[in-house]
Amino acid sequence: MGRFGLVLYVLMLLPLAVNAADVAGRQEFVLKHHEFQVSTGIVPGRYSFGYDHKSPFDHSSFPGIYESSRYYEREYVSGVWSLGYTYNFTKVLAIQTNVFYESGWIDRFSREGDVKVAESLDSYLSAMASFKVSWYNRPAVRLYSYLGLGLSYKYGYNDPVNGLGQGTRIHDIVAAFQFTPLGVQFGRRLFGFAEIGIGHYFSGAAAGIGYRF
Amino acid sequence: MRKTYRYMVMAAASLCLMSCKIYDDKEYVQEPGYIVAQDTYRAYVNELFMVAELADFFSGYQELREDREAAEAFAESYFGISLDWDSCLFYEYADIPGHGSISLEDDGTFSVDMYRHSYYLDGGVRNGIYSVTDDGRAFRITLRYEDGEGSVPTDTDVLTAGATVRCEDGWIVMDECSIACPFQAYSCSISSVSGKPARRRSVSVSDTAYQASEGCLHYVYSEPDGFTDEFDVEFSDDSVSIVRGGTTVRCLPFDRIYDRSVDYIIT
Repeated sequence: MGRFGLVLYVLMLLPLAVNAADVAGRQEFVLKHHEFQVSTGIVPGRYSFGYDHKSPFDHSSFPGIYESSRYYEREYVSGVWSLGYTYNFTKVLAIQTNVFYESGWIDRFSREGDVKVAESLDSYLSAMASFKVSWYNRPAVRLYSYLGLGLSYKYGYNDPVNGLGQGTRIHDIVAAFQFTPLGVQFGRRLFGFAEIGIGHYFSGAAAGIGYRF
Repeated sequence: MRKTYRYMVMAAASLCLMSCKIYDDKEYVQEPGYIVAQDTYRAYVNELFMVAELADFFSGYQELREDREAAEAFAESYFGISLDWDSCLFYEYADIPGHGSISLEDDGTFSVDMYRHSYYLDGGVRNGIYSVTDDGRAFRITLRYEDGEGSVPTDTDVLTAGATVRCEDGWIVMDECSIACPFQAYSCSISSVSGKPARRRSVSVSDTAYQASEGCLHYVYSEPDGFTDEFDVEFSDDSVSIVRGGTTVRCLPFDRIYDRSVDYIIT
């Protein structure tokens, strides 16, 4: 699924890039001050923050093993999703702000009757501001790097075995950072972009689309 | 402008596809009997094979012990290791690293210490030692505890174990076996199945002898709250099968290293 989407995304970018390059020769770089973006982590697309799913079973004892054998689990991740706004001060310097969300959860079922008996969730809603430098600017292609700091609201719970909904709700504020050494934007007003970086926003690669005016 | 919207929709769709929810099916314990069998094999069953092996070696050694060269050659070929035999092989005592220690008692029986199964009394330590009697055809093995001063604390888990084991043609064959673990948290008994003795290759013919290659053991497991489980463990060279009533679950062979891997079922 993911790979198919990636291929589709690249195919979609190509005509945009071709179109942009075609026009590029005929125009100077024009600075647009405002950009809106929506993006998602694509590689690996998850686990930028760690997930804290604790197993309720004691696998070091035989009774704990037998208890564990009466249940099975399914683990899910939402991926990381981001909405951002960037203000370009100059051709080179910008401030990017974004809000992003990711979560991971486990549903635990009892084998008898396939009934869901417990849930474990870790979710992070974060806001970040990044100092962004665009060090290569052409009308249709820009290359950039950014460094960001932010805060994340962590919400989660670990239900005990057979205690659906009874896990203590945990609320916490944690720090978030992001270092993206390389990002590329293709397009003029409507653009696509892809980045590689490491941090709480994403570790790996992210991609998205944006609109500048 | 329409082209722009089309691109936006395509981009959004492909982004969604790329970052779909992904999930794993996690099944921590698919066959608990396998874990019970694997752990008890490592802790109790394998020891009975090793005790028989030591007794087999030491009784063969007794006939050669006056000829030191022949005795050391016999020891090296039996265990497949080269040791400083002067420090571990004596007329009536031997301590083979990785295999245990064995003594010849005055009454002709052997005492084997595997350096496990000790428990603490009020006054000291009580060690579990295997007594081995050679009746000419097989070794009768019994785990007994040395007398110690003081009383056994009531919350102590005490193992009982005994077996009748033959060593022949490079095989160690457990004709009879009875192990009981009446512990605080659970109770487990392991016994042989008549007609299907568990057997494994002797260390004298195989470098990797650990799990039995043939045969069967019967397990009865119970917990204080009344939960019980009963199953047979069938051994083969490339698998271990847990048999309950009509169903057989075929699993990976036991590993001597501590391993609680999830994927032990062979489908």
